[in-house]
Amino acid sequence: MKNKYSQLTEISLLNSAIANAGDLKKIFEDGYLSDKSKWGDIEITPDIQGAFDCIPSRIKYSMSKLSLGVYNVLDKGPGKTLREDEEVYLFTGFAEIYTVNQIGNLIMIEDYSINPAIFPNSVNHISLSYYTILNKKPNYLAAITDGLDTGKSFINYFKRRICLPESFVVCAGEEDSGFFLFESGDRLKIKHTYIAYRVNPDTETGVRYLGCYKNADDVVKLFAGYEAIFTDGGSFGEFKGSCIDKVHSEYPLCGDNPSAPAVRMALPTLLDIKGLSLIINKSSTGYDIYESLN
Amino acid sequence: MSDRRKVYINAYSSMQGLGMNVKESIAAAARETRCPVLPVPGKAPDFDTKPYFILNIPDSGTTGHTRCAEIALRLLESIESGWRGKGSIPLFMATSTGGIKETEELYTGLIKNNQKFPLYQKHYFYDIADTINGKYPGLFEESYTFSTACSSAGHSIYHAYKFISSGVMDRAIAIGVDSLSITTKIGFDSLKLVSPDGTKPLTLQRNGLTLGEGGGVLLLESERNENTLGEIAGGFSNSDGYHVTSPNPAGTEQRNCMLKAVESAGISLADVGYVSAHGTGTPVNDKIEMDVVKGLFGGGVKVSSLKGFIGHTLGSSAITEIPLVMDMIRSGRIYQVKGLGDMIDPELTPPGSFDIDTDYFIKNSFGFGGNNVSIVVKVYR
Repeated sequence: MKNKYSQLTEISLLNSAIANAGDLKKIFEDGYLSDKSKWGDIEITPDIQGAFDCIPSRIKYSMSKLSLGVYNVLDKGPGKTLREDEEVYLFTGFAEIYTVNQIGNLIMIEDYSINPAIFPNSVNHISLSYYTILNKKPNYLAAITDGLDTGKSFINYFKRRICLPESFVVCAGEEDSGFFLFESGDRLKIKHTYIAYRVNPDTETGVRYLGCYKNADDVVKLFAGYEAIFTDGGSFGEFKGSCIDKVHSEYPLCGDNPSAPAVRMALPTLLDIKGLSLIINKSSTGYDIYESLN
Repeated sequence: MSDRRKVYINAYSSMQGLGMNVKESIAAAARETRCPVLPVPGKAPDFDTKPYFILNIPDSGTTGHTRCAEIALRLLESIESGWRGKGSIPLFMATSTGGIKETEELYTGLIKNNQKFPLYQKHYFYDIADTINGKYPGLFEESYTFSTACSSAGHSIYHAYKFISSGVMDRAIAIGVDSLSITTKIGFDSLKLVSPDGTKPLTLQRNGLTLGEGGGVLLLESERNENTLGEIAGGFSNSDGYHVTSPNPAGTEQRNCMLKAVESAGISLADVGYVSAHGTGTPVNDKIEMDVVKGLFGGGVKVSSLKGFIGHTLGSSAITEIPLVMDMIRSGRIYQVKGLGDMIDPELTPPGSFDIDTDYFIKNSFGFGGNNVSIVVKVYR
């Protein structure tokens, strides 16, 4: 594994509460990411303000919330400078689940009929395709979607992909759906938060993979040399006790979104945290650790 | 290309309507008839044609996991001697609709009040990786599911190829599965893409696709061994940037995709003797693909589509078909369904089965949104 950094550039993070990096910075400075008692105070609704404005076609009215979110973060982020040879990846846990739920209801509960426009909107990469179609781009694109394990897929994929020299673009996001309302017990808290950025491998600053640690104590030993620690919502409490001032989580912005690690990866850069930060992701295999240097 | 490592295909398998493995499937294809036609299980809408199912795969009710997961498990088992004992192996999975059949059952389960929770664990792909990791703990912890509709498996192969050839990993398993469901049947029917009397790909009489169920698996490694069957020699993928469901009639990006795939293999167009077409049997898709192939290769290549035998196995189509094509090329004969119709271009696609003598072929797969993937395969004969 190469030990160089990879720089994240042209980061665009959007939801109903964040329209630009300044909004995120204020949320951070006001302690919403580091104080669990405030986590419920940020309300994320499904709608991004002005989501239709940048889409030059009436197709926008048939696009899902996920497609609108992905289009907007690409448009306001790395899409502007997208080169033809750059690969674009979408990480999403339950892509287009809103449309799938619509189809499921229509076919299995209602009367079998579906509008021909609905079906293609149910495929998992369609949000990226809308971007290439409406902007006439020939780029490589793929959706990587592994349900609840999508965050782990992202973490693993990222560490592999940055070993290749070519820059690439990451998109991530989720959409809520009536499907989740059917759930009986703990309902997933899905937040309409979207992100896109360009990853430029082999740089002097940025993010790099440090390794996978099996137990939390070994992770805590790393904390001393770092300005800030960004971790998943589940591990937040675990690490908060060890290092009260430094530990933050994107949980209030992303909830249980399986693709949340893609947001976490960009926070130190987006917030312009000077010096070194740690990015932690807990999964079934342990704690994957990335380091960020700004 | 000189600094790239070769990516050897050291084991493969395929299951679809023709058979449960490559040998059985090729024996069935040699009879030059379609795979057996079975009724749609469960709540079946009143359609004129029946899709092509994998025989001998029990439904999820008896296995405890999804049908796609069951197909994936059987595929992995079928090449187990190739990967056992080699430690943890990255898994590049592909599916378009994997698990949607069980999601459909979930809706009826909700109505009948007999649904098990939590729902999201039964929804979609989650169950495939979960089932595999349940059976083989610790071996496939690194896994990725590529889902780009009908080109999904092309991506899983392309990425495994890319990482191995560049030295990022030494081996990987690419696997693709898709089972049939009411949703896909009704979905394609809503787009008027389903043939009323069975698919007739690459013919003048083509009038739509027939859905098929299938799966395939490739063990890809950087080291050749005594079982090596061939190589993933190159690959490329791009987007039409044209339309959600229709390919660009100009075929510009499909052409670029095939051309750059050949270039990535470090060979010339003249080295490619066969194109395994995406060839779904829809009027528009087949015409454009044939025009592109003709424009690129002239008359110097043979083209056919296996979907006449096994239907369109959606996200798994590329990886379901590659092992079958490799076996056919090794035997020197490409089989086709007898009496499908008059070919769009008889120079490229001879009527009926035909002899073939080539080391290299291209496998095309094209998905919704204009998502194109071309994989170049070298067959060891």
